[in-house]
Amino acid sequence: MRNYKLFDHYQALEAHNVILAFKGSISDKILIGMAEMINVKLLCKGEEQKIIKKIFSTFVELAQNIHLYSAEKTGEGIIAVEEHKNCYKINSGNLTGNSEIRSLADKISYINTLGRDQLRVFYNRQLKSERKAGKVGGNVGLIGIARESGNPICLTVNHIDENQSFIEISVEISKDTVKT
Amino acid sequence: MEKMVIEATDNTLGICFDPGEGVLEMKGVSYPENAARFFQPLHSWLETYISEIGNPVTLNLKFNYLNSTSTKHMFDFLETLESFHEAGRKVKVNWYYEESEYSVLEMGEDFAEDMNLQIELVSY
Repeated sequence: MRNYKLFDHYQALEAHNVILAFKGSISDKILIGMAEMINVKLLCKGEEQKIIKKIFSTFVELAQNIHLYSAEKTGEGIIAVEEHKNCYKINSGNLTGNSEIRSLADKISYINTLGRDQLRVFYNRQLKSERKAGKVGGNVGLIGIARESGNPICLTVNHIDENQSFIEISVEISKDTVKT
Repeated sequence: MEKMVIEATDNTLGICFDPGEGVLEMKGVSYPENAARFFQPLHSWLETYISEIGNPVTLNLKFNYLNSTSTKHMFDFLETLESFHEAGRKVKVNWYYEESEYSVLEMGEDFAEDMNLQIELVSY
């Protein structure tokens, strides 16, 4: 096996305009720090408040979503934010049990069929139906992400073996706020 | 019954519940991983207030951001107030939002539309 070179890693991040990347277990403290860093970075770039808020909330939801689906006890995962010409793309990735994937994929493809008003109705319905469940099942979080971004949620499943896969969830936040 | 005061942190709300005045204030951001741990005592306080005091309630909310689990807990909290209101008691909710925070406004609109509660949306 070739040595792991940070420079390769750095170059890959640069090539994709990654402005923030993290691998590990995302504790509350780490999340606060990263969220603050994103705010400062985007403010310095002169981004609009409205876009910064969308990126912030999508980032927080995706980061916390990792804990919900991570197959690793520590809730490990990867989260990265890329900047493109017309949008910011937020990606989260983690190992998950294969048995979880079907329902997650169904959930996401259903959410992606809904328009703005339908998402609103679905969101409110889920808030009610999940209220006594003790734990929010991720529906509200995913619907919130879809509402906030106004773009489809993209799920990629990388099969590892019969037990687990590495899943990637990514969402684009358009720079053009007129759209939403 | 004791007043409940909690200082805001980077990811949890500032709280001031005054049983004497019946004025309950919550403000700031909320996105802890374990929102239940934060909201549970607030909910218990409200239930005690309702059963032991039961005077009219004014709830002042000034949120900047709530993550999805905090939103769910806030919804539960408002539902308890909704039942209190439906039992014939007076409840007034002031939902403050900053002009630029359209998602906070949208959340307020959702709650106002969805609940049998007087929720006034106030920009600041």
